[in-house]
Amino acid sequence: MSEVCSDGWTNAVSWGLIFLGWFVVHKTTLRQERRKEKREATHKVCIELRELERLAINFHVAQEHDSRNATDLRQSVVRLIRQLQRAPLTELEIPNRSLILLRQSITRNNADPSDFSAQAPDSDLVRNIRDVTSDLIEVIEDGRERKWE
Amino acid sequence: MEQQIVISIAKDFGRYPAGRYLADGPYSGQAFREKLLVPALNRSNGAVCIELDGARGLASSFLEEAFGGLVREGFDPQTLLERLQLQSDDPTLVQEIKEYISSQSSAGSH
Repeated sequence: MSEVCSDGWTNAVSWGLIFLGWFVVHKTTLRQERRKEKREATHKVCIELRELERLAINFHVAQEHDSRNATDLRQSVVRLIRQLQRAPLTELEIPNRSLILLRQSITRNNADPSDFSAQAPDSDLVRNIRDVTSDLIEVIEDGRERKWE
Repeated sequence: MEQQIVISIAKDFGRYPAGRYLADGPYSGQAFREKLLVPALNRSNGAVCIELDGARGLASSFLEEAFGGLVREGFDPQTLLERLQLQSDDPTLVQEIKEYISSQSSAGSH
């Protein structure tokens, strides 16, 4: 009788350990998957930022003001800022200042028909767009390394 | 008790505000300031609530002209910061507008 009991306990402990092992592996896999998704989200937003930079520079160096491109640019800036303020990217805690600088670099000066003039590729305005975008990407990548690597 | 004035950029002005000056179009920052902001601020001494959400693609030139322009017109920056209640899900918009008002403080007061 006691042998049966002992076997029962051994079996229960074995099953318990098996379950615990499965649970730990499952949790670790889930955590790794989530981290991977978050890293992919940061990679994607960095690519979108580079594309925004390209579109913004093309807009500002164009010979004439293009209203349609101006509208697209404004909306792209808003969309990207919103994206960085939503989960999971909000975990990167990107300073508001970096996002304001992004909007200002693209939409504050030379963005409207009344003050538009074709910019040289090495003008202060174009250089500022490049600097602000690069700085923001650096902030995002630093945050990714700090939180999810 | 003063009744609070509420201005929704999207509902009361335009869903697609754009441009700095009147020359840029009917939905410019200058137009917003002259048609809605200044009259609302002059109507009473109470708070004026500005709802920023709903408007598509608010640009810095629009924000600077609409709000920084108030100080250039002679409104006192400190009073504006107290009276204007800026509402948005995007904290960067509120911060940027406050910076435009504060940075114009040397322009004089009303």
